[in-house]
Amino acid sequence: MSLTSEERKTFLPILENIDRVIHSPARLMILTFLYVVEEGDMVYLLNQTGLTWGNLSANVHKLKDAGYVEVNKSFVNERPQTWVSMTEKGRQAFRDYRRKMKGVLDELPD
Amino acid sequence: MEMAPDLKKVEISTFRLIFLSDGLIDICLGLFLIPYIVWIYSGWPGSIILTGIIPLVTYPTLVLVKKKVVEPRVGMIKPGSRRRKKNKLLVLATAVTVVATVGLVIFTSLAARTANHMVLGIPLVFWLFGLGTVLAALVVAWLVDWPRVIAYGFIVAVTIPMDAMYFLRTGRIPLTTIPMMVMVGMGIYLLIRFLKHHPKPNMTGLA
Repeated sequence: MSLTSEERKTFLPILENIDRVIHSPARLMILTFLYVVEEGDMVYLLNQTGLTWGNLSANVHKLKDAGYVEVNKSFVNERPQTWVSMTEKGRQAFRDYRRKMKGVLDELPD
Repeated sequence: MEMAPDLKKVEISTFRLIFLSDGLIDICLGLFLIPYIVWIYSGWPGSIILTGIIPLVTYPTLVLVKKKVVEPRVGMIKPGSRRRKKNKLLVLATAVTVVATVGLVIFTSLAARTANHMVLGIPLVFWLFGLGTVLAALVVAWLVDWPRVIAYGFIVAVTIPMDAMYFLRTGRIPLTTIPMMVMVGMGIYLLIRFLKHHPKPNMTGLA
């Protein structure tokens, strides 16, 4: 079913303004699991998202570049430990994204 | 994954995975009942010392196993604001439980001196202890998002008055170890399942 011109006018501007950094399944999962904690390590994100190390690392770097997450690396008992936390900018962006997507999905015609 | 995930559900499942899914807390909870079992079977007043010794042994063991076995498999988190609020309430609930337990002990000593303290052939104090256990379990289950503890509360609440009834009629105490065996057994089952479902991740390619 195609949208009416009125519906297009309502939805298209919202969809065009959707945050494309968050609007990727992998990054959305990472942010979701970070949003509910203060911070988590990479093993936590790996386990929860089911991504590979390489994919997880690449997406965390993209989120870091956007200023949505902070990455802190340290050594505990000579083993590397990487903690990831959401910045306030990231939390706000995630809340905005949820609100917009909820609005769009709730208003879509059947 | 839904486009608008239910964050409360995600937070609860995360907390359960990291802190409750390995069964270690269930094992510890079961072991904490040992002093009570020793006291019931032996009547040894010194069994109260075990109440202090068992946490001294189990807590460092719990921390060590978490660090060496659980964290490499599911990772570590620092809880979010919702969980921190609940933890504060849990501390408050624990304090109330301790005060209630002390009150129950005082009540027991007073009730034992009166003639009319039996309900359905079982001393009233055991009914109250059972009721208190269920209420405490309900509060903990809500605060920690741990429904399993309600079942443990009911098992303790049922076995203690039943044991008292058996003891008064037959002089035997057949059910005292059941709550401990259920908790430890469930903990071991969950630990085995956890190890099976959460192998150590392949760290190749870590950037």
